[in-house]
Amino acid sequence: MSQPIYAIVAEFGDPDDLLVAAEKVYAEGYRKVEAYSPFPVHGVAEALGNDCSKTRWTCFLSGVAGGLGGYQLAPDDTRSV
Amino acid sequence: MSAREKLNDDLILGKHTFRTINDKVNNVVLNQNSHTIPWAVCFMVGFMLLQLMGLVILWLLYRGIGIWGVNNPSMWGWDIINFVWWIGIGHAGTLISAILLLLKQSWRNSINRFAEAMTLFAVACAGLFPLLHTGRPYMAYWMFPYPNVLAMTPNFRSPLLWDVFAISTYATVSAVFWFLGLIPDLASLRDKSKNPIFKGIFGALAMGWRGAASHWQRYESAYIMLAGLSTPLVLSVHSIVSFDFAVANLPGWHVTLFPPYFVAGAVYAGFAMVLTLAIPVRAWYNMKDFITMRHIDWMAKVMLATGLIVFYGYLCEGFFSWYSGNVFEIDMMRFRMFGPYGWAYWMLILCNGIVPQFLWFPKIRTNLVALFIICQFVSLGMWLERFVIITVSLTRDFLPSSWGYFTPTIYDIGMFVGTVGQFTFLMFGFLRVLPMINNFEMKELLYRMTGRGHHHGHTAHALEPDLAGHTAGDGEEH
Amino acid sequence: MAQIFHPRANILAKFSLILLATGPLLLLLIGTGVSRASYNTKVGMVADQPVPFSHEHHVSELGIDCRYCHSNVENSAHATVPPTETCMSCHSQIWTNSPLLEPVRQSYKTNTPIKWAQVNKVPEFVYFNHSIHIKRGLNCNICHGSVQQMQLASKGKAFFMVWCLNCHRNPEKFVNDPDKVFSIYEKGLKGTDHEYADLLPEERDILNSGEHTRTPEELAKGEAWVKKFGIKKKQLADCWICHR
Repeated sequence: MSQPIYAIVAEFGDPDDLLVAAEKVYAEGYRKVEAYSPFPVHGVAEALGNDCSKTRWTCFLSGVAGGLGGYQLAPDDTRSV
Repeated sequence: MSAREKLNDDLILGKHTFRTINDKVNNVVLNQNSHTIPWAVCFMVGFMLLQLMGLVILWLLYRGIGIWGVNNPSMWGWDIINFVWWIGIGHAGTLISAILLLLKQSWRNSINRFAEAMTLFAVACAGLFPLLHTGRPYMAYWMFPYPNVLAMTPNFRSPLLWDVFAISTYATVSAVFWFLGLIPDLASLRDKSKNPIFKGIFGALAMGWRGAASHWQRYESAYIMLAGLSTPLVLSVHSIVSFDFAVANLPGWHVTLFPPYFVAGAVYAGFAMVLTLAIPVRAWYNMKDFITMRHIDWMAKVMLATGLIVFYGYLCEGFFSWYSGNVFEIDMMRFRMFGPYGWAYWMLILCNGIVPQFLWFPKIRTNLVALFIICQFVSLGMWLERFVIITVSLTRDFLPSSWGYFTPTIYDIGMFVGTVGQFTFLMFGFLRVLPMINNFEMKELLYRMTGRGHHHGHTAHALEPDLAGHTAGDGEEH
Repeated sequence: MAQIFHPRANILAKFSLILLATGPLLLLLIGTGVSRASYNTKVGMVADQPVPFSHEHHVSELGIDCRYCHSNVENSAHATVPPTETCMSCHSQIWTNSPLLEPVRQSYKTNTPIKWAQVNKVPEFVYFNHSIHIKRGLNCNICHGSVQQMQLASKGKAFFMVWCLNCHRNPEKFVNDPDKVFSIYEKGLKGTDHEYADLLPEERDILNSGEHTRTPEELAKGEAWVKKFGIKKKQLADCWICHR
């Protein structure tokens, strides 16, 4: 009867319950936590300590690269093949 | 469909739960019996016209664009008219998906998916025309500044080249935006589908979407950024299309008013097309709970507002040609009104100036039959607007010796009807294989409509147990 | 509910995403590479000829002038491939029994031209005139590579438009003394006492490869020639100059 516990799953009937639970779980010190929902519940990701700075940085750097690439399209009579 | 329906303040009607929304939206795709005879008729007619277009294009590639009515002095004819018309129609989709998102307009949620699809399919129709107009579509890559051995770069001073970039950017951003919004819904279809093949297809397209909080966070961040990218496109694409004319030094074209009034016209024609599709589709698939009379009323109001801007544009054109005192400008206006194409001008004023005034009346805005008919007038009017601008100016330029008359051939008509077929074919194909209404956004809307989604903070709030009908979670996806 | 995809599918998904981002760039790279490769340009590719004619032997070893065979190069649009009679002016006397020359004798007897495979060809939508280029001092090798070293004729340079324009936009990089166009081959004649003697660096480069980047002094001389010839640089790169 002493099987190890790999993970615990809980189902919530209401998005707000999920939000409350997420905050509590995070406050208890759990970090390997994920919440699933069929639509975005604002605040849950933040409550679990996620931030999406990676997306923002990727977008920013892609934008800079695209902008610089765009300037390369400018006609240049002197360039060779 | 009943002609009159009650205007309701709620954006979702009836007693809906997350599960019923999910089932209703997914059912259209997953249950093959949900498609009715009207669907089959539209799809097949579209398909047949598409085949007709294929034949016209084959003959065109074999014989050259001389089979069209375009000839000196009217080097632009139906091809460019249709191009501008289709591109304009696409604009409503981008406006709904991008600008209304940034403005936090909740009523975009049920109409954005198929409005965006409409954008893509309209751009696909539009793109065909300039491509074939070049006469050598297989050389189309010359329009891009690829590293070539010709020492040639495209002429960046030409608005026609700006067009290439405007349209290709528009098509790309619209497609990416549309696909990004589809991902969570594709995941829902993957989970609900019983057929293993469909499961695999939807699963591959959903790219491993699990609906995790981190997924949603990144999704929303990316989506809002794409909306930011699309927003200037709504204004820039048709401005650049209008430069095709405005930069040219031809009476009737060389007008600084063109960019704003083209953009307004684009949104105007676009909403007419959205309504043309929404009114029958919501009846056939019984989506009246999601695309409510309130949505229809608001779309009609947008149409009225943009229609007034367009009509104001016509008045300004008339005023400025008189006020300029320039003999060519004044004569241009005279030719438009009383010349050989006078019938087109007055039809245009009727369709875009007089008919939309009926939209002032709430009773007409909620009368679906009347609204549908008005939309057809608007579509015709916007087509005539481009016809008047292009043909009159080209056949009546500075020298009377180079005047002429433009007559379309059956191949012009074939191409136009063919693109209408292509659009119908793609649109009804889309209704069958992808969710026409944004599934998760509707669920989120329901959540917000219950008054709880507004609190974004971390404060926990007491649960209200009496929200009957709205509290049932979507069990399988938790 | 069973999983739809095996965990292995993740690598496929990542690979697809990377391909989506880099694919267009890769296609562009492949396209530019292939269009410049000799597979496409035929540079250095020996064509199948009825007679294995060696420019190296006839020019560098025997010292025959280019114009002996390509007789119209100075005064017509075409350099012209010589008629059989030109070959027979010598080969009626020497190597008269050589089996390699049988097609030449046959051609002479039956009065039908030899069907040489064309090696250098400008597209039909390009108007090109040999005589004006010779009269402005452009050595054969600048366009055709060092033909006098070719055992079997092959294309020396790829006739890209950007390559034409390289000179048409900056003629001072190439125009020269028209009297020296053919004399440099004499100086490079094999087995003679003046083999590669008293050649200017530029002439040596052109003789060896057709490639030379002019020094500022040489450029100044080029400018002087441009002035002397009255070349209108501004219109030299206009579309109609070549696409008439």
